[in-house]
Amino acid sequence: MQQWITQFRKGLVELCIMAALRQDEAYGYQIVEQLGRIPGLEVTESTVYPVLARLARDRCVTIRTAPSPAGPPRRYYRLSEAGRRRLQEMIGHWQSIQNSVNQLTQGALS
Amino acid sequence: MTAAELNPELRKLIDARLDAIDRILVSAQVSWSERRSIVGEVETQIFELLARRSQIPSLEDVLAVIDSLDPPESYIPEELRAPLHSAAVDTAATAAPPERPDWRELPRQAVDLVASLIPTGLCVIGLVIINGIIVMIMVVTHGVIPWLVALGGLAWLNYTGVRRFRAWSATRQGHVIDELRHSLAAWLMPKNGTQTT
Repeated sequence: MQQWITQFRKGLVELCIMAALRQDEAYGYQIVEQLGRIPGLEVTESTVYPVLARLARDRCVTIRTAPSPAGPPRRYYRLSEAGRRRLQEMIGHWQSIQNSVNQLTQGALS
Repeated sequence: MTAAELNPELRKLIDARLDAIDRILVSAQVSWSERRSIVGEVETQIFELLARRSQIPSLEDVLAVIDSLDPPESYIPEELRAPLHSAAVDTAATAAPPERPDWRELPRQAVDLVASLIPTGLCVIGLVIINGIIVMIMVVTHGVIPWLVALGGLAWLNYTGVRRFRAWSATRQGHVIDELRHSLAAWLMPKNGTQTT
């Protein structure tokens, strides 16, 4: 059961990270803390940072560097236009799957 | 506190953890830009956490922050974990000692050898026949022009044939001899791997 939960979470991490950046920019550890507070999601930095690096590579986010009061400069991530389009597609797909699975688990589909 | 203000000995501990993450990512063939991004984020996080603990971090603070991080191998991107695993399996397979030739392999190797020699034989026979025909034409016609045409054709044919044969033999260099040697070795080698005398 734990393995299924882990795999299920992994598939949702990218969607959640992009959704976290939907309203405003955020730096890496800020995203980790934000998503870490969501019950059931339980993501850590080793999950978030590789996804952020991939999103930057795919130009789904833009990066702004700003000084930090503690240590090296922070990298602030913001969704690009391509990232917003991708997020919209992902949300649409997620809702479609969610509806279908809800119907299936509630016995409406047979 | 800034990175520059940190005690050099404590900084070494942080660098060692960042190096460990980087090495793992290198082994997983993560690109340089992604590695830099991931390791940079971890470094920023370490200093964020240190600043929350103390204005002047101690050894205990640094160790506690490093302990709170995920292990280095967990930073490998998800999409690279499966190929890494299969690569490890492939490496293990290639590291295994090669099986000694078995006498049962002889027929397959012999067939391969014969199949590679047949085109050569056919080429040589064809070349001899065509050369013979041209020489016969020259003898029968007794004319100057047919002689010149025939000699030109013969030279071109030989030149082309030799060039093609050399090109083909260059690609097969060593293979035929090796296959023959392996076939003989396999034939002479019993299944338990000891040499018959």
